[in-house]
Amino acid sequence: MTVSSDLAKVDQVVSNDIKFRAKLQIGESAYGTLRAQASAKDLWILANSVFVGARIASLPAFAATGSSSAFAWTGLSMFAAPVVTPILTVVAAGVFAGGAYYGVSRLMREYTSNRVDVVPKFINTPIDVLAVSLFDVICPLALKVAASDRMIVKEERDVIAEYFTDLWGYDPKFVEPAMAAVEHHLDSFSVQQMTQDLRLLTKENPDCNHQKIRDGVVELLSEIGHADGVFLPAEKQMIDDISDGLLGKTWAKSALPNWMSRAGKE
Amino acid sequence: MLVTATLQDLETSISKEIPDPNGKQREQLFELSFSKSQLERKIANLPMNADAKAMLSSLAKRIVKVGETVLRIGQKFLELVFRLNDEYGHLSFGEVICLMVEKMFQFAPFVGQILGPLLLNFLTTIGQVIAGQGAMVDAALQTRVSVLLNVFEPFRHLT
Repeated sequence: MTVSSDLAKVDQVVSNDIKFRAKLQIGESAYGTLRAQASAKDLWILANSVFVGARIASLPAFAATGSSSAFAWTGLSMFAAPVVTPILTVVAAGVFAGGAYYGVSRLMREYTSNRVDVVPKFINTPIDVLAVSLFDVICPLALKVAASDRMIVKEERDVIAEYFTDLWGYDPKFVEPAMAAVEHHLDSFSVQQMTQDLRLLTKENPDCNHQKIRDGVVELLSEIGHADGVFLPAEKQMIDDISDGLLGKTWAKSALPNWMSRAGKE
Repeated sequence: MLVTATLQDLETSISKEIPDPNGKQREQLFELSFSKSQLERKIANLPMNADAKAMLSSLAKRIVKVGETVLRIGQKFLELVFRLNDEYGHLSFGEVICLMVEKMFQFAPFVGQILGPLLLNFLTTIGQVIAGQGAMVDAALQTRVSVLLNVFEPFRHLT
């Protein structure tokens, strides 16, 4: 039985699409209409915050205290009208209120996304197409790290297979032959190229949360590095390079021995 | 036989009397080719935005009661669209759905009335308009569309 004939029999790439959609971690931003709605809501509240801030700053009570204290140190308070706030102070207060709202709302959103996963019912890219595209770049990277000590052991293969099936919801009937196919051609993959491809794919595709996928991949690579019980400096170096590459930093190619950057099985 | 459709999004209910469908018509009408999850998977794999896919999913849930039996009329229609799309691979899903909708409004206006609002919203979302595409395609394709829509024969004379 050949690898390609096994792959030809695959009916589906993803068997648990809820897991897959959840792992993309894009929440409701999958939907253009909801994205537009959220932006409009943000703008509306931001505008209101600016207006309220400016309104408070222009109140006589604020003018009496705020403006005089603001100008007292300059010695100019005697020139300021006692109950009229200077226009600059009003504008500044408005901008400050708007800025404060924006900062707080961003923090709250991040806090919420850390506690609750919103899973969109549909994503924009055909799900199997996206699944194959992600597999095509993550799997070679994972196998490269596993092969960085020139041998891929069963524990490392298990970690990679479980990552795709248990965490992402890929169909094991797809993962097994597809992993074998990638391993068969591992020599032809370049770590640097795969890293760049993964970065590009997850950054450009609106159905991917680049930061979360990047963190997940780096975590997977570390787990592979530790899977056989020995974490070699070469493995650490490769993971660090991939991690930096995913962040868009300059690729430290010189740090990798030639055999490692080109091939997994030599 | 009484046919009742409750359109929750429009907060309305439509009831019509139809002659009892015969055995073959019942079979054609009620038999579904896909399970719910298979249909969702097919929708998920369409090359269109998530909003449009969500609309198709809502369409698939549209039901009518034919006598005492529930007919998943939205899913039935979508299955026909997927079948035609498989048969005519050179046409986009949007083009296929335009052809089917246009013909369906002529063939079974009652079905058009039930599915129309969702379908027209869907077509707007994907940037398609019904503009007499039916007249522009070859006769074989026109015939195929008519044959597929024949499953809605029991509703043919309803308006």
